[in-house]
Amino acid sequence: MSERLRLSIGNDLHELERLRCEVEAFLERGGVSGRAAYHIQLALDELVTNVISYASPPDRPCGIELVLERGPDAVDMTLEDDGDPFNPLQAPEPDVNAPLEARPIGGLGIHFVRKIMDQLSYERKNGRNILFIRKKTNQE
Amino acid sequence: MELIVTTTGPVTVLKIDGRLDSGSSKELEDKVMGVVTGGATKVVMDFGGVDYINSSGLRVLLMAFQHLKRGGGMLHLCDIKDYMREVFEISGYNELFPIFPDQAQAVAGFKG
Repeated sequence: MSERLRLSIGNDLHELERLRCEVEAFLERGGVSGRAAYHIQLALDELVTNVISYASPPDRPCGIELVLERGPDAVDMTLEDDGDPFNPLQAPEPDVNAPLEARPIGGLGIHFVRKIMDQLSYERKNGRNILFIRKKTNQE
Repeated sequence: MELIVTTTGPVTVLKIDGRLDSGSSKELEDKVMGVVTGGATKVVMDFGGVDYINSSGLRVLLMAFQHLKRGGGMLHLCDIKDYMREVFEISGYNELFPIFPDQAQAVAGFKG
């Protein structure tokens, strides 16, 4: 039941495919499927995309480290990067009640993560962004 | 991702298969915008074969909808897998796009 995955992710959107395959295999080994598996893939997809796209200027690519741990009733994830300080928990909420024709296009990714994960915490330490997220797996 | 476009009377149906993510959203955008700028006003997107969608996929739906709306058109969605319904609810899209259980009902939804 105690599965662990550690990944170093390069600063390139092509890395998302490798991330997806590695996480998929990890979730299969840990017996996580359905809604919880989709939520974990979606959260990591959105967060890593944001780091690769916005965390640092192109001439200073940032390193991204991801650790996933399968516990008895949850998957714990820690995402670290050495990009510019960014606390996703403080990103502005999109207005999901605005009329659709007036909606800004974008800004949903972080909103999803905050809504579909069970626990999130952020710290900036030694020049690194460290985001901890937990997804419970016993709520299917 | 695969996308098949069929026309049933006044309704254009886009049957999508595969993943709607950052890798496929540009292709989806090009194809969908091609359909909606090509004069289609009643559009159904069939998600029966879609097993993953992220915010970049949802962004394409919003762009298509906004374009259709300006021309007096409408976008209906159908056959979204249960585990993906939640992201439509979280983003508030379920309040705005009519979502139908299957393609026949989504097409029929344009009548009357």
